[in-house]
Amino acid sequence: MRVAIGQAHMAEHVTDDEKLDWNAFCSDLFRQLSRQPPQILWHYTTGETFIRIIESGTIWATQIACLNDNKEFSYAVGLLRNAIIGLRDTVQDGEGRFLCDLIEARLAYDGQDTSEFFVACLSENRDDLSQWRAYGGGEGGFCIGFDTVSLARFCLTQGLLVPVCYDTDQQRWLANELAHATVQYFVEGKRKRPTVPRDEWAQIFLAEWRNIIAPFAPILKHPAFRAEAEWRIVRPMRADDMQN
Amino acid sequence: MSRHLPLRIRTDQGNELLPIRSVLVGPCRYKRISLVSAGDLLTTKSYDVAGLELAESEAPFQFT
Repeated sequence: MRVAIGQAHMAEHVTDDEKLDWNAFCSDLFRQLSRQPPQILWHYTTGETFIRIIESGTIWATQIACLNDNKEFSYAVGLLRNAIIGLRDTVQDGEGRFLCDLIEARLAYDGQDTSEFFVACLSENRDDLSQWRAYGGGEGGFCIGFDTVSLARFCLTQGLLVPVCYDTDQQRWLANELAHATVQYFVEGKRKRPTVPRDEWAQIFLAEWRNIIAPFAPILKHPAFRAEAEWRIVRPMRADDMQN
Repeated sequence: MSRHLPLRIRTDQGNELLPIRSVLVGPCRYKRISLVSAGDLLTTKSYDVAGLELAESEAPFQFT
């Protein structure tokens, strides 16, 4: 909140309580999208990368803009943009409509090349010809079966282990939930800050809210990919990653 | 900027090994040779090859 200290002002910010509330909302959505993973998840790769994985003792997460399907982040952004456009006409509150217009304009650029999210791709399918062809390098590929208990334990502190959502009804449901929450939290926050200009609060709100909802984008894929039965480890870049 | 991040996922055994339960050799001309090579590599890196599945894909290799 804005606090006067003599002539100076502390910068407006999102409070810890608001962050907790917003994170709890998103955690609940993730729970609704998730399910029990199979005992083994499979990672298809080339012979060269298999050697690198075994020798280094690491698997590699790829920045979302560098995935094979370079449109998939745009796909998720498009879903949210459509939900925001649909919501705008029903919003009675002037602040809410203002935010919808702002977000619609911003989402015209998807921002995937600056996304902080990296993903490691796995599949429920063992020995799947289409994935040998797609990811095995043509000849001499390998498929590594990972123990999901260990993957899940890693993700307790490092990221998320989630199934990719291909169902268009579920995707639209998610986008609508996020769109409604976006407007609701923005309007609630503005009411708590009557002296803060709307534009200023919008910048502050969106900077924080974007980080909270961004992990949903890598788990939404076009239904044409459904046969891959993909799971992902979604991992945000952290300060200590810069040492790698 | 790097576009890849290494993930050091470990078993609960307290070692430096990935939690691998199975390795399949994909379609290729000489699956058996690749299988032996993969087993040697895993053994060299201290994986218990006897305790994991090391197998050949059932998908046939196709020249393209």
